Amino acid sequence: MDVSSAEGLANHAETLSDYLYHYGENLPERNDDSMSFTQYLLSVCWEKLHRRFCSWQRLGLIRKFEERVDILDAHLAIVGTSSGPKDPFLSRGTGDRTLLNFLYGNKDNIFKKMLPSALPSDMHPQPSPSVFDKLYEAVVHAHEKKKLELLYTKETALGFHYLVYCVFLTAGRAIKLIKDRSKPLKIAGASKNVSYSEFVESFKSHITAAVLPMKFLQFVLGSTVFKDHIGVWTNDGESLDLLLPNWTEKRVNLIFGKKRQFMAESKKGPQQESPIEGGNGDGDTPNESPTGGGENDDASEESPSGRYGDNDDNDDNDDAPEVGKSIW
Amino acid sequence: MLDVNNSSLQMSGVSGLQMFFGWVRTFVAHFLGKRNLEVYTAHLASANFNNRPQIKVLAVNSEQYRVPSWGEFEKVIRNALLDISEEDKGDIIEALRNKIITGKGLAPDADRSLFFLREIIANRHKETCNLIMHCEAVVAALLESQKDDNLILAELSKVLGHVPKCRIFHSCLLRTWPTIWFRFQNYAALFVGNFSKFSGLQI
Repeated sequence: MDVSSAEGLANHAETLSDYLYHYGENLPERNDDSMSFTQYLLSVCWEKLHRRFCSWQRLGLIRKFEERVDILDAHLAIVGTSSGPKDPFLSRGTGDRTLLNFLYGNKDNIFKKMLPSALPSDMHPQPSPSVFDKLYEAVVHAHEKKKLELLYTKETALGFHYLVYCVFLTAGRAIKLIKDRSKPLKIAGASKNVSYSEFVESFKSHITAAVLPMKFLQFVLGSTVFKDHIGVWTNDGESLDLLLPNWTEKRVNLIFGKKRQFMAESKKGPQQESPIEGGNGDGDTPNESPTGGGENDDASEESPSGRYGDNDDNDDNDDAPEVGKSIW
Repeated sequence: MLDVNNSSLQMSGVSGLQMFFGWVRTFVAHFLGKRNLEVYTAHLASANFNNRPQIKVLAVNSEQYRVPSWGEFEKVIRNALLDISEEDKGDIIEALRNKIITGKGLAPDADRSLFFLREIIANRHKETCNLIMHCEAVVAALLESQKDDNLILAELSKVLGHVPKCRIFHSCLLRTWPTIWFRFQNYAALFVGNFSKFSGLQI
């Protein structure tokens, strides 16, 4: 759907309205409907997602996940001391159960296939091959003993760190593949091409394939574990500046984006600065950074989801889909 | 003294952490918004209050605006500098002007982002520029015309206060709108349609 046109946007609004109404009316079908709508959503917003993954600021963040493990190590060593981050390990909260259920329900695919294959072989520093072992054990124990607090501990923090990194990589690459498959469809007269139906099917299959990586990313970023992990990594914000976008690193970040296959090798990133707005000129925010007037479009933060937003205890939970083998 | 040329963003501490965390979560904002809408819908349905939501779209087409002259920029800067002598104001403005023109000491990207202002100073700019409206600004403007309900206005302002800056309306369709819709059902039709003016949007 082309939502850049007036008609397309009207259709999108109508689709959303219909979906919500149907969702409210049909309790037994909610899980399936929700998954279908996620696919739809991805099909209309993948370009924006791609721009986000490829903005130099966000690439910088992902690069820091890869390269600044030293900061995490240093802060893990002083957790709970007067100069270190507060000990977050026993307090689990919003989104953690959803994440745990997802990790446990897909533990073999995630820990045996996805994570080992997602870690680049040329990382520096290179994590130990067993870096996820303790997290894997923690996931199993936390789920089976129903002790959520076991999920994130001093022992699992490093594994969780690399898990977040791998999920970023997997989701970003999945979105890039959608972009790659969309190219033949955008060529003038594409519908007359004898291979058009194949292009369409390929595009659709990559939309489908990107659903679970994006859901995974959603569960990770929506969890309290992630929030606490950022707290530990930055010593409760004290070292946050080290993770923030910095102009001087823009080029390095874009190179990283190509190297890690978030964006095409041959192309300059989609991040084109507009001389007028000083931003990226791509329909995203003018200064897309945590402080620079960037969006705070975190729905769970800005909406009254403090009351309802946590889906941990929600009966109509679509939040633990099984990971399809084809995804990884 | 803060060296704006060599500093990254200053955002340490717990509040900075919250902002940072919110920024990181924008990777999945569409999906978090979807989930929130579903949860709201489920709650409404459980109370037998599931109505078909009406979504209308504001006309927030990008507009052509006249490009201000450097003199007008100067005036704004001068007015903002309170309790400063005219001589110092002149020095400050001149220093800014020189900084823009020469780009001295600026990182390449910072230098590049000043291109527009440099063109204005050199009087080489076009007469108009294309600006895109922030959806929150549009909503706020609409609400200003309905001052009969101060309570709702206050609440809405509070909600909108959590959405500091979103340049383009479309990105908020799934995020900003449900907040308003569910809290203030009288405003379900807040986004007033005018599709004929609508263009250039993408989700």
